[in-house]
Amino acid sequence: MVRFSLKWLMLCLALVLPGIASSQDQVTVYIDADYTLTQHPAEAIEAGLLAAISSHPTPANVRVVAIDNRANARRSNDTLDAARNDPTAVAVFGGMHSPHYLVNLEQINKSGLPLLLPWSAAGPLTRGAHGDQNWVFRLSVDDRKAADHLYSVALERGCQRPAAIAVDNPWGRYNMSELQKAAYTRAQVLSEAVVLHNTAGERTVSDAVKRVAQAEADCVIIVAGFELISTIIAHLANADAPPKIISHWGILGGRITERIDFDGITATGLEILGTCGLHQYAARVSHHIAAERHFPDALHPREHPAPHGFYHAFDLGRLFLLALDRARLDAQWHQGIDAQRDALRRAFHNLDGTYEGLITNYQQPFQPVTPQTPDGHEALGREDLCMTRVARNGNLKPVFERRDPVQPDQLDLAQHHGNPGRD
Amino acid sequence: MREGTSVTVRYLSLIALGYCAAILAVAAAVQFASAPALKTMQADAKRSHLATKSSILRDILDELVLDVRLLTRNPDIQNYTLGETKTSLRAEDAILANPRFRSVALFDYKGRPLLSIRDPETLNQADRYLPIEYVEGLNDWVSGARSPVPRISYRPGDALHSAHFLVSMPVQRAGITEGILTAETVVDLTNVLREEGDAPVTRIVTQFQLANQQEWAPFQAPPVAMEVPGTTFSLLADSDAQAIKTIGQSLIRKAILVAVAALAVPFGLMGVLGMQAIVDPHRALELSKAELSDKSRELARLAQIAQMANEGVVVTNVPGHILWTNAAFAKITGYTTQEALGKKLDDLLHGPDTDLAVGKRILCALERREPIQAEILYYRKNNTPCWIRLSISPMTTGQEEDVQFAAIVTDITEAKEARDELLAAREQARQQARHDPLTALPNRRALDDALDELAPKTEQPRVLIRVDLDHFKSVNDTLGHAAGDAVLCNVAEHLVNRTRGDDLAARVGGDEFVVLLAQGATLESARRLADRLGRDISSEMEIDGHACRIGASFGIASTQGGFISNKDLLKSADAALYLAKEAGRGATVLYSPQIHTSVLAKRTLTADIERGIANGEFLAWFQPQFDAQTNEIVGVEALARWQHPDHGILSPASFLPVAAQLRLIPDIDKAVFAYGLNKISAMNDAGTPIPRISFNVGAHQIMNQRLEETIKTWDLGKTEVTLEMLESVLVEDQGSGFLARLADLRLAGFRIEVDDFGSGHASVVGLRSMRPDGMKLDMSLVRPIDTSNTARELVKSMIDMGRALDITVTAEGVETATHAAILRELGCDTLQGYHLARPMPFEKLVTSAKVGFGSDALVSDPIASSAIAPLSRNLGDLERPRHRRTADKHPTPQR
Repeated sequence: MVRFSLKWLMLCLALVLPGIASSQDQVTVYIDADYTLTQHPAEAIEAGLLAAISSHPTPANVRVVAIDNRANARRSNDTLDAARNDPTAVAVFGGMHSPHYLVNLEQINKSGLPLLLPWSAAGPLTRGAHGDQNWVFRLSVDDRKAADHLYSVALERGCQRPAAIAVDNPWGRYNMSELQKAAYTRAQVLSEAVVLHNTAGERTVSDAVKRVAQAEADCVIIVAGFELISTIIAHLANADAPPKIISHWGILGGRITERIDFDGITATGLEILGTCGLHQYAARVSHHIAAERHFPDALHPREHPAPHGFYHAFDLGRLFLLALDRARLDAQWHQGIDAQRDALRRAFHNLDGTYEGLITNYQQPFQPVTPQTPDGHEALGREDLCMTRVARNGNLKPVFERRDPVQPDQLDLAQHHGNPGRD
Repeated sequence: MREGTSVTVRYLSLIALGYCAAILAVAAAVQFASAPALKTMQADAKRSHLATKSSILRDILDELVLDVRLLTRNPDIQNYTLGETKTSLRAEDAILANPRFRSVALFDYKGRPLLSIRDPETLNQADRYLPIEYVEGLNDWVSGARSPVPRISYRPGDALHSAHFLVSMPVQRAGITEGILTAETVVDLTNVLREEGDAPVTRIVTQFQLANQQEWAPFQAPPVAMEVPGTTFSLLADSDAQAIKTIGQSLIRKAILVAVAALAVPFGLMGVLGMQAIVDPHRALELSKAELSDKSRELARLAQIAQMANEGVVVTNVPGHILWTNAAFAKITGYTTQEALGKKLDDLLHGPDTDLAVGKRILCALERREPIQAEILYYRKNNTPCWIRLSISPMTTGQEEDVQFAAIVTDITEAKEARDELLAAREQARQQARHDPLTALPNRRALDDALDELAPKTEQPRVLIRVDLDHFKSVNDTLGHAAGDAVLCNVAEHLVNRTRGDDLAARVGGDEFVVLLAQGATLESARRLADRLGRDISSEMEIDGHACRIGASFGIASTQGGFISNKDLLKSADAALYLAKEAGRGATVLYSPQIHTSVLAKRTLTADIERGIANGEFLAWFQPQFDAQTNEIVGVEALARWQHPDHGILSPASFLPVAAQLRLIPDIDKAVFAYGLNKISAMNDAGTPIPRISFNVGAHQIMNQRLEETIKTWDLGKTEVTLEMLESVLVEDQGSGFLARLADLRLAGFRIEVDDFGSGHASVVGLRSMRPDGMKLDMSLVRPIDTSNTARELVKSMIDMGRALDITVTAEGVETATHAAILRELGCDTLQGYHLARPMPFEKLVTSAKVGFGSDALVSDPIASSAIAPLSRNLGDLERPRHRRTADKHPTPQR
């Protein structure tokens, strides 16, 4: 009889508890992204987050509110304000653009509202404050590593005179200085370095391409948004000897094959920076298939122009839900929305165990940011950066390459003392 | 002059009087004839006037709209509207750059004000427009319901005929409105709205005012109105009767002006022609009389001066016959004036050594009537030679047949002799200073002069070859310096034989030569020359009965291509030569744009490294080493880092290759050594001692006799200092002195370890004879042990060997938990690698030493039973270090 009663008790709890949770504990997550000018990353991010929520083992009880910022930082700021003033909002998922958050970073870190970034890559975003003052978490490319990686890829592809073109905004200028640093540490210099305004026209781009050609660059590393990159690639592809193009992922704001014919893209050997979600498909096929079931319109993320948005938002969404589950058990959870947000932040720092994601396995992906641990709020590292190419239908395909496990730090004086430069 | 002036004045006065009389007659005629046509013209003028004013006002408004449009398209204003707050100052500057506007305001997509700039002089003035009017239409623009054409609003100004316009335009990006920019300005429309004289009065009215103007306007006749295109207001003109008179008077005045202009032509012509024919000849006659008198006086003075001069003076005619001489001429030449008259100067003074070419040159100048100065050897009357400087100048009065020549004759015999002697001496000294005494080739100074003479840019590229002899030192060492000199002379002979007269082959140093090729040489011709020289120099020579063979390396640089200039030729060829030497000697390298870029980059890095050493930027990061069984920290390895002021922390891979080439490794070693010891000493003082610190050293540091003293500068307590050397160094440098030095260091308390053991020079015999305190297995041996049995067995054998020789074994490159587990099982003593801890700055080492070296891998390692313990114990509690050669040697610990 005890067993019978216990069974009925469990059944009642199973029926009642979700209802209690759903009615008293629903939280809201905002998405602040550009659905107008570069809608592909925004769509992918939203799809990733929704897939993470619907595939969570337990009912997440999360409401998602997506707001179009039309690539306008003021709209983005208004969305953050709206979320801040929403007594049910526990976090905001950011969109593609970094400058929106860079200009308001100090305010964001004082707001007490977690900002989760599945795309924005600018280095300073996750390093604007230390310890419990830092509310920005990222699962994406980190520009602190991206520029050096792009330069390394250029050298690995046999380039001897790499040049760089970057957009004239904080993101572009930051990456340009990092590229120059990457060349410097290798006792090299960029053969040409050009900064272009985002609205640069055909003539300005043509002059820039001429400068690159006069410098005899055999590779061009480009850091810019979709519109500007399309114009640049169109000019480079028409050159007599098109240089190889290695692009940051700003190009993924649109589908490049809709702007430039495939032969032109092939002539430049275009490769695009991203993370290793596509590359990990085979190794983690069960996870990918499970996630893709929740992708809208029965499409595959691999057929989407910006698949990284889906992979990042999915993994980050799952980490968010794991942290949310933990935060809901926090003693301070019921002390108001500020306490809930703080509990969520602390839960991010204490995610134990291993979560097998679509891109990699995450073990304590976040820890407090300190001067000694500047990567504390970065879930991905340099080893998670991968390159892709464009297929004829405009989809991205992974470029597989051997990874050298020897770290550059391991080289030290010992390698040189046996051969002190004799004549 | 006075007579001429009087004639001119009388003449011009007469002309002017006639002109004025004619004008008066014409004016009276026009006034009488034009009255009837005036009325018809008035009506047409009013209509034309309004159309003109409307067009002018539209042009003014178009300019305003254009200025506002330019502002809305300004990238900084767009970016600021879109939230890039750092562009606010540039956005303000863009607005302030156009001072036309009284105020400019910028609003975001919600109509919130972002910027407002007003002319300071208008701050106390009331606003003309309501706040809502500034953002009127914004919502329609943002939603796309309204096309992005500007809105123009009007208010009358305070001053008469002034107007207030407010122009509003959307700020867009990619066709989407994200804000609105409004500009307010006051335009003075006096010139548009009203004119003095015959123009009717004009006003601007709104549509509302136009509809009600019948009630308001007290005009005598219905006004005329015309809409201003593209706006909501119109221009209005009244029909005051006074306008007729104004128009008529204007017409009469114009007719009179035309007559004035028309009559000016014939009267002006009459005045000009009369001046030429009558007045000017009269004035010219008066002037010539005065000039003639002045010239006569001047000639008398000049003749007296010529007679008194110390220099000889000769006057001749065009054929050269002497017309006059002065007393000084007779003194110099011995010929009196009477003896010289009628003769030619050259015939008089010519002698056996007189230079015919100079004489001919003088003759040609005389024929061309040109001045000339020449020095020539002549002969006096008594046949003694003398050097004469002739300065001959033509004299003319303006008549072609009246030309004579004046020659100044100066005896320069003594001065010329002195000058010639000086020049000869200088030339001799110069030659001696510019040639190498051994080979007689031009020396370094001659080469520098030749390079300095090259213009900064020449039309044709220049090529320079740097030649350095290979193995020359061995000739000096084996056969003596005399043989070496003979070799150098032989090489010089080859250079002279193979180069052309315009080329410059120079000896610039011991066994170093340079060839600066003449203009027109190409890189290809230089390469061929280098090849030929190479064959010549490397052919066998016989010196004092001994066969001798040397070689040569060549570095070639050219300004062809424009990436280097003439002044960079020598050092560029030097850089190419360096590469030829590095390639193995006997080679020829051409300096290329790639080498040039590399050289520039290397120079930058070189300067930075030297500055970094001077500023103390080179320091150490520390990588902990752990006991394989207990996971306790047993020491740290100090690894060089560069704290670059611009690029942050840089690893050795980025600077060691260049530092090695510059021989700066010892300075960097010294800095890292001092830094490491200083920090470890600080940790001891803070109560968190580190048992051991290891440094990577080379042979030069081992042999530094001051090493022991250097250590004593810091109080290291019980911390041991370990010196890690590559096995290749230990194998190659096993001289008796080196081994003795190692022994001294051990006695002084240092530990000696072999680093990267197994990386290529593994020698068991070497280990056995040297008996270091420890050895570190190279990471290439460690890495594959988790996948290869063979690798595992190899590592095991090395650990067993260490055990047999009583040498501690450290495994480097421990990257995974599996590595650690296997090495632990194989009996390795110490582990070091990323899996356990990465190299870290001193501050993190201090923190980790207090709280523990919490490694994720170790926490999750199922084999490890505890986290790595913090440094909370005194060193006295630790196991005593395993020094060999000490009396209380510990037995090998049980594993």
